[in-house]
Amino acid sequence: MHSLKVFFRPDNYPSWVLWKDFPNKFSLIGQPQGLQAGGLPSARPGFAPRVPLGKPPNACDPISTSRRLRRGYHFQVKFVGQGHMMIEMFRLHAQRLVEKSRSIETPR
Amino acid sequence: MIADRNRIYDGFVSLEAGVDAGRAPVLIDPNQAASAENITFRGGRPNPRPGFRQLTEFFTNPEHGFDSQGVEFPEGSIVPGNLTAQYCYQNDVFQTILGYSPHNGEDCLMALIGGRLFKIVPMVNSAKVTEITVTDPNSPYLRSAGHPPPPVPGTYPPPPNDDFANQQFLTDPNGRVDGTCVGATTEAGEPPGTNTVWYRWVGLTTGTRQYFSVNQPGWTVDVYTGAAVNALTLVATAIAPIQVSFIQNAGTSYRVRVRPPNSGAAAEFTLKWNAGTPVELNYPAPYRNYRWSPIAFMVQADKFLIAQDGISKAIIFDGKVARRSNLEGMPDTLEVPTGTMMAYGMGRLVVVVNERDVAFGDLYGSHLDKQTDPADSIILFTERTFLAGGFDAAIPFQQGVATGIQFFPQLDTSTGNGQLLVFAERGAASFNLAIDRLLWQTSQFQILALLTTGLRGHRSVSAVNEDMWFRSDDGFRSFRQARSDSWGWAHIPLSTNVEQFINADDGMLLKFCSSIYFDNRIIATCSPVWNARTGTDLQPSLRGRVYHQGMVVVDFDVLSSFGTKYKPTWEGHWTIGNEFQSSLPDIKIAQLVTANIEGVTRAFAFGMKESRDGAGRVTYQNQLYELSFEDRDDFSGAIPWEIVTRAFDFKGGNQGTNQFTENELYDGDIWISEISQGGIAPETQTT
Repeated sequence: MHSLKVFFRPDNYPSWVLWKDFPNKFSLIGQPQGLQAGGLPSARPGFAPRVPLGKPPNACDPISTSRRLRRGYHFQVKFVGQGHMMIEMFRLHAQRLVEKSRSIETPR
Repeated sequence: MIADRNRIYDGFVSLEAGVDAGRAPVLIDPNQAASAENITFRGGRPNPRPGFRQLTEFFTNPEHGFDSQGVEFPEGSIVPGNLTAQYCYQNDVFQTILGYSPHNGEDCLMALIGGRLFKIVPMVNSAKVTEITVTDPNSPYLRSAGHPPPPVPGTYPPPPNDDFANQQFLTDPNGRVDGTCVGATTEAGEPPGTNTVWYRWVGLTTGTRQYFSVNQPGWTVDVYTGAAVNALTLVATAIAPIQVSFIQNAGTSYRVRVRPPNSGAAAEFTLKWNAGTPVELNYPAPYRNYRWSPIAFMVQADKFLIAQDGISKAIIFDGKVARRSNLEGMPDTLEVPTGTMMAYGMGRLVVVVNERDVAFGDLYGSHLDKQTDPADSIILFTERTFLAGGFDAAIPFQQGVATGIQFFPQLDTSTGNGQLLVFAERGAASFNLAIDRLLWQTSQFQILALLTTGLRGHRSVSAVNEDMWFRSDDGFRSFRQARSDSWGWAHIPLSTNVEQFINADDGMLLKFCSSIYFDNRIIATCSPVWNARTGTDLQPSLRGRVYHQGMVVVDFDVLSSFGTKYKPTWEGHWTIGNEFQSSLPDIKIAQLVTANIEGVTRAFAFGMKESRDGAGRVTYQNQLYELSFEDRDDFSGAIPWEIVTRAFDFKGGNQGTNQFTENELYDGDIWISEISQGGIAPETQTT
């Protein structure tokens, strides 16, 4: 079984925020090391199309900006996995926010 | 065993960020959820990384050895444990390794370890290791002739000088005497030793150093003063071939005792002594290179393997016999000069000598009728007295010292108009060798081809797809990119995506970087560590040597789709040690190397393997590993890896051109494929 963790961070936030954890989520098709007639391996590479990551947690940066961390101008994503898998595609969904003409001053 | 740390895809090709360029912009309500056009990246199709396999070495001459002076013990003689071939291979300082395909011989790897030459023939799961003796008729080391045959088993009477009281008198200041220990005994009260015989020599000149030696390596010569066998004072002792010496006093009686290392080794011997200078022995003895050089260089030139450490005379190995370069005599017998980095191409062997001079061998030697094989002329360095009337080529001072040398196809003038590139700290020089010999003599052979992007590691050069990649001061660079891409920012290293793994590398250690082209990847070492401790608390294999904690990898498969041409992608940082995950074995890489073994290209890493004894003490031993396709699923745990994407800014497409739009992240999708056996969890695999 393969595991995958997805993290994100907005706007150069120094820490990674855990978005989704898939412990032992992905696996081969068939039984690893299992043989079928003729000694051929029965296992095939597994696949997992369009796995949703769900809504990111409502984490916030409590120390410097008090911003909700799933709001941002640009986002970076980190995948940490165990086991061989290939990430074919990946996309983010975001909702554009209507900005105020002036930013709120960063609290001190 | 290979862990992937931070594969970084930042929109080169494999994982394209931003709006999918192939689609027309779609205008949607900015407050609605963004569609798939918003942010997408597409995975490339990287191959699974090769696995890592330990090859178990076995030794054909494990007892072969050299003494502490570097002089070879004869085959079959007794070697103190630390100096055997097997011990040296496993524990001494690794210097270099190279794939070698001799004419009419086994394809193999050749390695210099602790100044000694090893031939390594890789099998499937093992490797056959043989230490090669390097002969030298002009060796500075001498060894007395002959080793008397051991006696036929039986009972022998003791020799006349068996007892202390029956010492044999030696009268001259210099001389030799033949003797035997066969049948000799140990007296009561005598200092420890078996099969001892005694001589007496009286000092003649006060203040003169006196030498004694015996022609049996491993035997001990003790010199005492004193009148009774149980009341002796030790003056000096040494194990041959080290000569025992002491400052003599005129009139003092010195009792000289000769003894074999054990009773089974008793045999005849010759004792020699000399005043003022060491005993003159009869035989030139092979010797090993300097033991503690942390780096050495090799190249295959036609049928020869040439090995250099910059100190010892070059080693020339033809697959069967290894010898030292012959630097004596007339110019036409001048062979490979002592130097460091080498390259072979266009029938010439080229050696960097004196840090910035470039010495050329030449096929011209084949006309001298001194060789039975035209290939022999390759190791003749006729050009050293030919260029400009007797000089080597020298790279300009402003470029610094030479750091690498490589033959490379002359593609266009952007890469210089010669076929030989000599890299230096601050540039490169190009040498055009395809000219007539007489023109060559006076040619303006130096063409500055590159400035400011200095190569650092001679072993780091990988020639791939009409380009050369190498380790430079500030990362990894490609030669053509730096030369041809003159309209762009050519002086940005290509390795910015993995800079967090290489920027901290110690500049002094970059020359130890090595890279290979294997599996359509460039795999290069990074994170070098220098262990300069020479204290005895550390085992020899860790003292004064360099090893690497990881590798950075460029994957060319990610982009290779027919009909399109994209840039390659950094695949990230591979580790094979426990830097990434503590449960992995700690393996430290000294050098990566590829070799063509029986027609198959195989990739190897020579490194150190960690082991722990019962008390938890850590030791390291040199170990050969293979990176192989068959071992992709190579350890009983899932392969750990990381990918960090670049920052997505949701610009373009349906969001117009303003990239400063605030967004709220609310979902993501991921498509995964090729979930394969590399990730069988340990508990699954063991049940």
